[in-house]
Amino acid sequence: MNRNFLSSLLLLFVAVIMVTSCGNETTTTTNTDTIVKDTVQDMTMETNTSYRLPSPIELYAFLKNNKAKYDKDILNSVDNLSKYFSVRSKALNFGIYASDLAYSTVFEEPQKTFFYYKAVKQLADEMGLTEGFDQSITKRINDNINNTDSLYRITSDAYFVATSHLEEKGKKDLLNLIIAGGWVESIHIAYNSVGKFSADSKIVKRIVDQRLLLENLVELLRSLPQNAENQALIEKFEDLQVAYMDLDSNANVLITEAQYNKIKQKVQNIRNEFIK
Amino acid sequence: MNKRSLTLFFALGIFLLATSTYSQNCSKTRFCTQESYGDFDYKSQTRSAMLSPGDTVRTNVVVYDDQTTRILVCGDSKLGNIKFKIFETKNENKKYVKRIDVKEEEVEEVMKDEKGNPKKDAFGDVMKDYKKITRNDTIWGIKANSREVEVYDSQNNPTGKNYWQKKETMAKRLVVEAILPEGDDDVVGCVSVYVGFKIESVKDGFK
Repeated sequence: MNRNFLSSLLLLFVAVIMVTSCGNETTTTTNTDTIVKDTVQDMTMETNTSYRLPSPIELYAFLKNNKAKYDKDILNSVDNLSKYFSVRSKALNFGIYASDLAYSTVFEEPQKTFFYYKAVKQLADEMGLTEGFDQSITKRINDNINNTDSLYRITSDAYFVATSHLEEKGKKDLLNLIIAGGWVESIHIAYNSVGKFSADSKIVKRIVDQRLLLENLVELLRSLPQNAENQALIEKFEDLQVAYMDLDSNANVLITEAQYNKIKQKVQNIRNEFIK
Repeated sequence: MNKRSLTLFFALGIFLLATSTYSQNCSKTRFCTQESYGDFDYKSQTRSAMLSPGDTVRTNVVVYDDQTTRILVCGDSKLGNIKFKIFETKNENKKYVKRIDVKEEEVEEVMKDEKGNPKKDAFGDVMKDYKKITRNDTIWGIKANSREVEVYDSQNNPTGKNYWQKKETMAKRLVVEAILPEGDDDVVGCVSVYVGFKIESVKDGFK
């Protein structure tokens, strides 16, 4: 095998890598997915099992169907964007802003949809995520800003493309943080869509159902690299799970007002940590 | 370099290009027939992966009770006839004390007189003092036991359709298990677990 042959092979290899890489990746997050079996956990964590959560869009569609009112004041202000320096805070708040974007789209608020799309796009650019939030999506949003049906499809597509891309590229660490942020924001919005507490309220019942999503979310977070920050994050959500477990002792009611408020406070505490 | 070597290069390059691009397109390619999808939205929990014959993958999803859910599994035809099962899963969680974090804090306390009224200084301001308290924060862990009950098997499906569809009466966690038939280990292809939902209002053409 001569030198020219090897040089050509190397050049071709480099060219292929450059052509197939997606976007300008600036993140330094490692790609290793370490699944650690918790020694006190009876359930074996299989490496070929994946956990999914319904997109926040499903929850917001439900809220709208149940006559909830849009409230822009409960969303994470786009003014907070400048606070998010670390990749971690960007990922968590990407999820939060994507959730706010979905909420604004479902409730047909084009101006807010535009603002939140810009926020999500800015964080996507800063994290090197180009799939789902590239110039073509920006143009489609601009061209359809007053067409709520189209906005819905565009933002739904963008979310799916971005999350699929992250998974296929092995960036599950980022993806799982994004999902955590998106879920916390959605349950925060659901809580703020409830007027006076009633255990018979459909929205309250849907908040109780979030317990199932929380179980999958904790499994996702357990696959994050083992470090103090991630451990602290998992503990916050396990603490929330414990609050949900209090409902198991209820005999005649799905959830009491005290239990509802306890869960609400824990969600608020987690959200406040994420957005500060 | 001779013609044979050049041909091998290009073949290698095209192979690398094809496989790396292919792995990014699993989620963008639809493998089921159009009629199988129906008018469901699959952009929420659908999962795609590159697999080989003999592989089994499990996808844990959550379905709500106010919507109809359709689940189907399709993939590259070279992987053969992919079977799938669906299980209802329920976690029986138990909490345990992982540890207790002991924190010392200084808190502000209003000074009071013998009668229990706030003390005031010469300027009429309430006098405050600081005292140290010890706060114990219990950190809980969760011990999860999971039970699964099979609710669907594509091999024993009385409807004859290649999908499972249901409107649940309560929210549930489901596990979709896709099982690829045995074959050549060197074959790699896309498999998608499609989880679609349909809500009857909000948006027409909810696809």
